[in-house]
Amino acid sequence: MQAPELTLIVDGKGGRHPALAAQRPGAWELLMLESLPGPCCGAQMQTAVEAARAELVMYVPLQAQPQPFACESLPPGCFWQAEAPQRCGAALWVARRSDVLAIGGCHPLLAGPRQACLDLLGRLEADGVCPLPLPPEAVLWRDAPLPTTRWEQALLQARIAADTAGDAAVLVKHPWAVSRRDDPAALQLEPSLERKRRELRRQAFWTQLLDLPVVLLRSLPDGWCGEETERGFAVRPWHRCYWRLFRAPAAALEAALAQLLCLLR
Amino acid sequence: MTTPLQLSVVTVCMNRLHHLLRTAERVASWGQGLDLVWEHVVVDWSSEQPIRREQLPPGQHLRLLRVEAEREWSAARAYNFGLAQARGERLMRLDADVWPSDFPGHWIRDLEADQMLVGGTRGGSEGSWLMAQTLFQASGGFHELMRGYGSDDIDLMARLGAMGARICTLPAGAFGVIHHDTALRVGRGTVGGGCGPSLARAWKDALVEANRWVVVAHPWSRLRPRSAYELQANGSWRVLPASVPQPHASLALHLQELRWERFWCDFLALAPATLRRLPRAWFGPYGPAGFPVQRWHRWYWFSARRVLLLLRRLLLLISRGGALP
Repeated sequence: MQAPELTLIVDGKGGRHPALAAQRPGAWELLMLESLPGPCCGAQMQTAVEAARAELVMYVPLQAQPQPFACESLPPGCFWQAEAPQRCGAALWVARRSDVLAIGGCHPLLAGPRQACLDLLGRLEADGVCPLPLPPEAVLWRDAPLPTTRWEQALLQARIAADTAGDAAVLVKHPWAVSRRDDPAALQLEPSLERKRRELRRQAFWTQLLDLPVVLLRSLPDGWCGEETERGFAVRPWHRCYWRLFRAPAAALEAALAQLLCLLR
Repeated sequence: MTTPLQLSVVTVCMNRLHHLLRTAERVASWGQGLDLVWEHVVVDWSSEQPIRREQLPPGQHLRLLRVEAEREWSAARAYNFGLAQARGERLMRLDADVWPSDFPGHWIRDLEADQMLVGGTRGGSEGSWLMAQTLFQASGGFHELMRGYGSDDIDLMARLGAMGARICTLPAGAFGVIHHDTALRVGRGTVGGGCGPSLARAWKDALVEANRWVVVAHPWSRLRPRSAYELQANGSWRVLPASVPQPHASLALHLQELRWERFWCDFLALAPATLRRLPRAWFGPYGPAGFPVQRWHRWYWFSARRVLLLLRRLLLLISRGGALP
C-alpha cells in the first residue's frame, strides 16, 4: 500500500475532520490524538508521530483549522503557528517525521499541548532545523467549545496553569533526547523532580483558581489546597464558596490599599 | 616538550572579592598538593572595583582575566567565557565562595570522558563540578539567554544527562563553601532592611522562573551561537555586542512579563490578577540594576501586605467553616 503524503495528528473529539483531510482522503492519513494510548498529551503525540505512515506530519491543535490552499503550497521544511497563550497556547506545526524522530520525538512526560509543541519546536531548532512561521492565512483559529459557566472556565484556566508550571519543571531537569527514546527508565521522573513537579502544579492550580498569593498558599495548613490525586485536584464546595464570595472583594481591597499607599508616598 | 595542562579551575567573580580572597588562597594550597599540572583562571566580570593581580595568591598557576563593560551578572555567559579560556583537559567550575576541600587528585586523573562529578552540598556547591573539556564542549556550554542567577547549572546537567553522560554526586565534604544569604546570589550586597530576605527571595525566584521558561522555549545545544569577545589593548576583554544571543521579540516580552509578575506578586504578596489591574508604572520592570523597589513598596510590605494576608486567611477559614456539613 502506498504511504500517504501527509499524516494529520488531530487534537479533539472524533468527527472533527479538518477540511484538508476530507479533500483528498487517500493521500492524507488522519490520526485522532484522543484515541491513541498514553497517559498525557506528550505521550499521545509521541505515539502518533511513531505511528504516522507519511513522511510529512502535521499536528492540528483543538482550535485550529488549517486552510488547504495555504498548507498545500508549503515548500519542504518545518512550519508552525501558535494560538493565543491565554487559551491553550498550543501550536499547529508541520515537520518531516524523520526530523522529529531524529531528536527523539515528542517529550512523553508533558501534560499540556502548549509545552509539548514548544519543546518539540525548540529542540528541532536547537538541532539545526529551522522552524518557520506559517503565514497568518494558513490557519483559522476557531472559538473552541469553552466551558459555559465562569466557574468551569476558572477551573480550566487553573488546569492549564498547572500543566504549564509542572511541564516547565520537567523540561528543565529532564529534557527529552534521542538517547532517551528507547530507555524505559527515562519515562520515570526522579523522585525529587516528581515532588517538585507536583508542588509546582499545586501552587499554580490554586493560586490561579482562588487568586491567592503564593506566599499565602505556602503557609496554609496541609489539606486546605491539596496536591493532585489520580482524580485531579480535590476542589471542595468551600473552595467554590470562597471563589464566589470572597475572591473578588479581597482583590479589590488589595488594589485599594496599594493605591492608597502609592498616593501617600 | 611541555607537559599538557591536566586541570583548569575556573572561577568568575563580580563584586565578591571578599569571598574570592578567602577561597583563592585555599584553591592555591589545594592545587599545590596535587600531583598534576594545573591552572586557576579567575575572571573578573566587570566588578566595580577591578580585581588586581597582586590581591590574589602569587604564582604562575593563576591567570586573572577581566571582562569590561558588562552591566549585569550573567553566570552563564561569564562561565562560558572563562571555560573557553581554560587550557586544561579537565575543567572544574568553582564559584567565588567555593573551594575544593576533601577532593583528592585521583578523582581528577581517573575521571572518564563521559563523567561529570558534581558538588553535593545543598545551598552551596551544587554548581561546582569537574568534567572533561570535550564533554563540556559537546554540551554547548551554559545557556546564554539566561539572566542573573539560577537554573544555569541545572540546565547544563540536564542536557548532559540527556546526552548519556554519567553524573555522579560527590560527598558533601568534597567542596568547602562560605555560607551567605540570598541577597549576594542575586548580585546585591545589601537589600532593604527588615524586608531584605523577602525581597531577595522574590528576586531570586523571579529570575529562576524566567530562566526556567528560557529553557522551555529555547533549548540550548552546541549548535547555538555564543557570545564572542575581543582582546583590548589594555589586556582586558570586551564582548562583541552583536554576538550576544538574544531571545526573539515575543519570548523577550514574555520573559520580562514573567519576571515582573513573579517578583512583585511574591514580594508584596499580591494576587496576580490584582497586580495586572494596578497602573503598570507603579511597579517597574527588571533592568540591569534589578527591580526598582521604592519606599512605598516597603510601607506596603510592612503594613498592608500583612493585614491582607491575615484577612485572606480569615476568609478562607470562614469559607471552609461555612461549607462544612
